[in-house]
Amino acid sequence: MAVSEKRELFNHVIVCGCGIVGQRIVDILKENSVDFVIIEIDPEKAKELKERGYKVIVGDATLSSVLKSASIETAKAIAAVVDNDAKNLFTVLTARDLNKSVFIATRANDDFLREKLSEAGADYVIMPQKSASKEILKELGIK
Amino acid sequence: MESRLQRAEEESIALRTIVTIAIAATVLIAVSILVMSIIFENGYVGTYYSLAVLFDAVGYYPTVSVAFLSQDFYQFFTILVVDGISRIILIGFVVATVIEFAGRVNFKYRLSIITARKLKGHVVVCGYSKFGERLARDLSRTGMEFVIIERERDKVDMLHDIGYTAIDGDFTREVFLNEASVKGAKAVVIDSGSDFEDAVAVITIKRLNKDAKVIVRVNNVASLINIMRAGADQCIIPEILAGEEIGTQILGMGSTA
Repeated sequence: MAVSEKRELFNHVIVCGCGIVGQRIVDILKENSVDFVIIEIDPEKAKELKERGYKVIVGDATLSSVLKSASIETAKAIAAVVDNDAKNLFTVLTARDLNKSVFIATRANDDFLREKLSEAGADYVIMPQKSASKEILKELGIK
Repeated sequence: MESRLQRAEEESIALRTIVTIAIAATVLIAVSILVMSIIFENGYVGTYYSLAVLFDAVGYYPTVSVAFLSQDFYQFFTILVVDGISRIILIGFVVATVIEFAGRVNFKYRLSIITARKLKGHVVVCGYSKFGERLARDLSRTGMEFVIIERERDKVDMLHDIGYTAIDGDFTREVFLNEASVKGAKAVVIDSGSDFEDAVAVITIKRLNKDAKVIVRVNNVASLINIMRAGADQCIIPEILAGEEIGTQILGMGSTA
């Protein structure tokens, strides 16, 4: 990402990982004209995202240097949503260390990890399977 | 399918063996009582009565020394040793064999099958993945009746241990769907991890119960299109739902960092 682009990043959202979860977040942010930058570790995917016009940093979001290059210090929120609980945990820890007030959202695959992520500093932890289950109960009219 | 057949066969052999041994033991005991009654005129009760009368008339110690010389004593002793001990051994053998074979009959599994067959207006959960586990927990919490069909026998045994109604089998096959009473189910939720199996399951379920709501958990949009074409009423991609929730949370934050 160019220096000029980096300077523009303020009160933005950092999306770490652009899999299915990350992509949906990006779609919602774009629909609502919210400024964001994507951190993506896969160079091929990163290239594809750049071609679609997104601001992309190629790198590992668990590293301070990478989060700093995404201007974590001035971000309003960060979404650590790769499909790997360990990476998400380290991203949460690093992000919280670099910015005490940034809103951190992440995902977990089970209740035990959800607690740990919250303890690590995440403000909002989503469990995809739990969301899906809730949706099904709602569809079936079960409370 | 094979392990299911093997288990059914083992249970059948175990049950047949228990019944055979019970009948044989009953016949043997009945015959021995009859034989003893014929050989020893007085039998147990008569001989015991004679000795009791003797003790009462003469006293204990003199009776013991006299009893050694009496025919009643030897009759009683013979009955005790030959008939009594042999019966103890026989009964012991029968009990041990019943315990061993009873252990091979999976009562929890049989109870699950019986319970599943009686269900109506319930939910059938096909596949016990992380998603299935979450759904089962939520259904259980709401009091909604449900049955799980899962291929792996170890998982099914574990489900029985935690009190769930579960059947081990292939949910793409009618025989297992029928055991789960899919014809009377309100909804079926499928999570096989394979588009092909999902599609086959959807087609089979819809044939058995066109009114049941069929919901499939899929991994991506391409799968969603295929499964909807197969006849599913709804497809769910948990990750998309998660993305929506996070996106909504972030939007709802306001503009301050």
